[in-house]
Amino acid sequence: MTGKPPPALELSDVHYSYPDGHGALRGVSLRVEAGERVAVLGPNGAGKSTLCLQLNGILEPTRGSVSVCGMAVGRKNLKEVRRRLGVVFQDPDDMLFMPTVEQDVAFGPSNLGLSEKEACARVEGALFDVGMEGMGGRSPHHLSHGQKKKAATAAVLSMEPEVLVLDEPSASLDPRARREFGAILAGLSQTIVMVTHDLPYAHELCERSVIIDGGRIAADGPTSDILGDAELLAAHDLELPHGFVMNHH
Amino acid sequence: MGGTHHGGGIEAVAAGDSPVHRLDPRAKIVGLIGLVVVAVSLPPGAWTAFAAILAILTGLVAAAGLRPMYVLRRMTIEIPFLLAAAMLPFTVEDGLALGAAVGLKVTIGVLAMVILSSTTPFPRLLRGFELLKAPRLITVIVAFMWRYLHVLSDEVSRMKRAREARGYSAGWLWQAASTGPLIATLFIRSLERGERVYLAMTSRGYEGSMPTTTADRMAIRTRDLAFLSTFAVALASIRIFLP
Repeated sequence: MTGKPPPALELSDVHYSYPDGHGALRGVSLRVEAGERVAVLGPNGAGKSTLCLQLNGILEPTRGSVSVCGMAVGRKNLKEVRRRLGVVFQDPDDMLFMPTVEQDVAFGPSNLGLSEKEACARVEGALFDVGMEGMGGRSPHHLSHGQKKKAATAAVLSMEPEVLVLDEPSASLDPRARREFGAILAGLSQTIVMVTHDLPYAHELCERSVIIDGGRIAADGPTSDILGDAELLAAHDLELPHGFVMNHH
Repeated sequence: MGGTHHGGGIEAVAAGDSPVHRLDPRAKIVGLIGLVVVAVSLPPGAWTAFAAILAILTGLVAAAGLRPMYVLRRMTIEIPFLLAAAMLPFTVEDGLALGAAVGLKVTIGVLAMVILSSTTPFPRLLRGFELLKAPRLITVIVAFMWRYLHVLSDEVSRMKRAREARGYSAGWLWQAASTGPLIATLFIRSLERGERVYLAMTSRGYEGSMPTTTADRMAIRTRDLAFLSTFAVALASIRIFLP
């Protein structure tokens, strides 16, 4: 292999309007290299979650294009795109729909047509990666919110994606679950795109941040620069928690 | 988030341990359904046969370590059926024997299902039905229902609590009117939830047909075969010799 690998994710001039005509994305261009960790920051309603759904072809851009690992996202290769790019949704109850955790984690691999043996190995590996080994037989409603979040992440990791997209990963987690989940994310080798307005979390986990506001990219740079620019944050309705002091890397 | 359920509900009981709990779900499903079929096929007047079947079920309750009060509480769902059976003596000829037979059959059926569901965790029960080649569509629907019933009941209790926190008390008739909007809200939330679940499934490669779940394998052991063959012999003798 020579030369640079293709970018993990590339959006060029992506526009998207909802069927009711409301424009959610108005020309987003973003390139994420393999192995990068990028936080997508923005106030509520900025188009962050819409962006997540563009990345694996659930929503199709009305204009512009998205490519994942060098493949243009389109109807023909959705299966391959969804294998390579996994999305962890905000509410784990939306993801864990099978009676037990391990059945749920096996759902993705089974859809990929893996053999039973391979799928079981994937389930074990994914549960281990999120620190939930031995809990596969539990029912989702017997788990705490933090455990559900881990299980939902395992359900995506079992597909062995190259890119992991997380929508508000720290939402409704208590401090300990938030910290534990952060440690799990920090230990993963995948390219990570994390949509959040938890700025300290972005600072902790991602070296690069992008601010999205009004459906456009408003800023793109090292997280410490972006979070250090109080005026920029204020202009986009973002703020660091009171008393938060950044220690530069 | 109120996601945890405590107390001695059916799930806690089903998660217990006993020789009956340890049997393969398939053995229990086949054995108990066989028992219900035999009971239903008995003619009115086969009292010894009914008694023998009830004795088998009582033995299972004891072996499973289920508390009698718990079993009786679970069995209250049969009361409407018993009331219907109680009408028979007044409406048809020879109704007393017929009513008693119907009542016994209902009781046997309900008791068998109480034993099955109280000794088998629900996911394993579903898996057992799946392995017995129950229609996949049905098991999948039941699985979704079971999973989201919990999510929905949490949602309802949160909404009720929020309502109470703002001075609602169920005792006042005029306030009961707010139950309608509560149900409407719940309906819309469920609809939205359903959409999000579908999106999440699609994101994980779902293309319209549920894959057979690979995890959680089951194996029929000697004890399951012993249980089934004893059951078969007992039921056959009851059916053939007792009426």
